[in-house]
Amino acid sequence: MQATNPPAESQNARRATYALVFVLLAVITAVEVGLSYLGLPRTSLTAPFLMLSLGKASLVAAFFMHLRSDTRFYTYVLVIPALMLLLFALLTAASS
Amino acid sequence: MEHAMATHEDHFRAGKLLGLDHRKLGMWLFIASEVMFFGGLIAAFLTFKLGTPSTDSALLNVAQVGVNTFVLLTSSFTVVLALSAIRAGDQRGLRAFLGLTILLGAAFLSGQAFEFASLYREGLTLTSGVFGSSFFTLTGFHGLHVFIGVVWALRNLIKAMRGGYRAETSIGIELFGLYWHFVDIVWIVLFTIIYLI
Repeated sequence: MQATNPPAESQNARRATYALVFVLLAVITAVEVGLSYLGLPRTSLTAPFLMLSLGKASLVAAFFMHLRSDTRFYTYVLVIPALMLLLFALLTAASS
Repeated sequence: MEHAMATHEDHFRAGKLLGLDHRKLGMWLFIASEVMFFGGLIAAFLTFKLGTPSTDSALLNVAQVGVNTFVLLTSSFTVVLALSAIRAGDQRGLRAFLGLTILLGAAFLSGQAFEFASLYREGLTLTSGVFGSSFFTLTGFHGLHVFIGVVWALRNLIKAMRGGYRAETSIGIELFGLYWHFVDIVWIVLFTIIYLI
């Protein structure tokens, strides 16, 4: 399914979604910076930081890059190289 | 068979083989190659960070870079608003949001230049050690991508001021947006692995 150019009224609805996503991104960033100043051991924060980062990246890709509404093929083009890279990195780490 | 070939040829001529816009598919394939490019640099940085831990990472200012991160996230918001504006036929909105994007991109680069200058004063340089080399290489290449994005946005703004975009011919803004958002995603990852963990 190819994305088309929606009329003006539907653009207003999209702008509201974009604004919500932007607020979420800003809040998550503020939480990340706040957590980094709590003085907790870095190792205990690694997993939460990676999850928050993944969440932010997914929000940008899904809504700002329109992967949520665009053809699924573009999602594969983005995700498959990333997964292959991760697999390669894990295999390299395991063998060293 | 003849009918199928004609359809294939029609799609090719319309620039939509597989039902996909060739320019957009090309941008996504470029982004896939960029995933590999930054993936290699990130893997190298993490290998050095975990293999040879350095106290130099304590020189990094998370709050200052957090503000810069917010600036870049805001620029992604203005880019998507620029696309939304032109799709609704709003030329003025397109120009305004492209202008804001350029300002925010320039602000991010200024923040990065300020950070680099501060770190150099503290003794962390490109040649001061493994951490400095991998840090400046990774963040420097990202900064170069932001700089290219700012130049691209400036070119789009000039074209927009000449009325070069319409609701039905907004693909140029969409392609620029894909590039800019990808650069934003790369920074989201870099902020985490360099400054937070």
